[in-house]
Amino acid sequence: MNTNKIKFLIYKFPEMGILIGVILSFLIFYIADNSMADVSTLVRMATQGTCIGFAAYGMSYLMITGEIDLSSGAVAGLAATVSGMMLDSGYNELISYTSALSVAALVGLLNSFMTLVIGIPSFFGTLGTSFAASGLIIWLLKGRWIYTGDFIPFLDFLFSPSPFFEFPWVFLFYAILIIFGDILIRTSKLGTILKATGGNVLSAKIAGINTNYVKTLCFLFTSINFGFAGILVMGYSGTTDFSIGMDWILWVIAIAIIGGGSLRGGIGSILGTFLGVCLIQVIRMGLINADVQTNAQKIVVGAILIGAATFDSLKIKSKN
Amino acid sequence: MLDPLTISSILRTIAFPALISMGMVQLMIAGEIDLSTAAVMSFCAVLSAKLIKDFNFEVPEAVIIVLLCSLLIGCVNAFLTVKIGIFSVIATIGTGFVVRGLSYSFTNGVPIYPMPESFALLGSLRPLNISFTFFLMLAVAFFVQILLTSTKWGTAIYATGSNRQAAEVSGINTFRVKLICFMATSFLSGCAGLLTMSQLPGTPGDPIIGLNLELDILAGVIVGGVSLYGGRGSAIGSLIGVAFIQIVRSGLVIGHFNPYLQLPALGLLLMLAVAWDVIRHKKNVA
Repeated sequence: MNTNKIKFLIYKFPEMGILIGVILSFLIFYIADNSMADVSTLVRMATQGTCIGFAAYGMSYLMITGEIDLSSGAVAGLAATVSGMMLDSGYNELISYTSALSVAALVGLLNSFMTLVIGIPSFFGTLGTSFAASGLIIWLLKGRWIYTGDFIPFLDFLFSPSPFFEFPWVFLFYAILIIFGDILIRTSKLGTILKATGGNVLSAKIAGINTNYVKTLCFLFTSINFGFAGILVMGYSGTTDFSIGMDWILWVIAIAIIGGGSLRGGIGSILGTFLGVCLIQVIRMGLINADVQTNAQKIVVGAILIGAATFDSLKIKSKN
Repeated sequence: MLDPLTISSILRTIAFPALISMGMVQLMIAGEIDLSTAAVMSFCAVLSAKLIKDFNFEVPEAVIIVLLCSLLIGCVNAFLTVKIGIFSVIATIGTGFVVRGLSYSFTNGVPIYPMPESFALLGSLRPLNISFTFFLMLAVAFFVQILLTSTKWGTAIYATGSNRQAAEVSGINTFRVKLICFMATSFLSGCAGLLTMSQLPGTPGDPIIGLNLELDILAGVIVGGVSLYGGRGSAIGSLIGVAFIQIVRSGLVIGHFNPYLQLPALGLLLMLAVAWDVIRHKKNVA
């Protein structure tokens, strides 16, 4: 295969690079510790990965339009808190989750307002809402934690094993959404609209796209996904406390960049983000198996973040 | 809150972020951000402790090696940002991750102590019952203020931040400007880390030093007038901004507010400052 063919492949499918990365790191960790390939390990990686995966999923649409949302952890935590409190007060699951997701949607509107109306770059604006939401969580919970394990039949079902290799139903649901989303972006008019908005806002406006409307919808979709991810974490752990979502900010940035999203917008892929989640999960699980403590894991993630950002930057430079 | 003991304690908490902000202000005027500052603090403290304890270095030698490392980190930041082209926010978050991770892995999360007496020397100096670091910080602030307002270096920084291409055309080597700013910020972070260590009882090399402090520094500097877009700011302004942030923090503690509210409150202040900065920038551009 000559280099032109390889370049063509990489151009058409930028996710190839990350896919190779995922496979390589999995192999490395497998050699180090064979239990990586156990079904139970894989199921655990899939289950935990799905939670943050939903957050990354929502955000990847937003990144294609050129914005970023750092309030992932806080909104997730807020949704978990609201649903936890409502479940605890006796409301059923449907009402609790709907309320929680509505609150998440409100945050999304706030993000969109700060970015599009006030004009704060989304990086800082959403960081701000993240802080505000964290504060709200602490104020609402007042330091207690809520046990919800007995009241969540729907979530329990989501996390129960499905016939597919005993992966939980929620993972199947997630995988279908990924495939659907990726095809949507690649082939539909919606995908073109999103990419146009991200590529060059002015041209998109001239072409008749209401970019503010598009971005607002994306912010809403993103926040709702964040909220759903938070509810999932609550379902998985059976409790609600203020620590849900605390660490997410940096992980979600790392996943987004590793997954090929560019902060310059217009580029981003659902599949890439999914692979980013896979990579992070493989690395985290592999490091835990190798007894590397959580804080030291940061070294690897930091290095990968820099590596991915470097690759992204060089790619842009070579295009020019 | 006006108790002399409280004031001296507040001044002490102001000293460290303010010291680092003297480097950060130059960097931000030049148009870049460094979010790895707190991680460098932690790393330098831990590394020096490890060198002294496990490798039997003398205190002065360890300090010099550690400060050289901080300069190296500054170089890496500059290289990633300017030469490779990664946004400084992302690059420094990445280096911060790596550095803090190293710091924790050196210690397995447990502080290293005790350290030899001589280490605590600078920390225990207390002219007028106020910490030595505070006076050091005042001196550096004074020095940087003069640098920024009255020297060619100051002009170069403002030029680089306002319009990089115009600066290049006038003969300023913007890479060198940014490189020096990054190195200065990391160097001051390293100093702050060592000084924090020397002031704490038992002088522990604790990886938790400076946790989340980069936000205090960033918020303080922006409140003090530095613009995210570069080209504006002053050393005195940054000092006042950092002081303000620390006073708010102390106020929250003294007022017995929930400690977990500190981070959201800080974030909110940061957002207000950024919003003000953005609105002002838009007015000027329009």
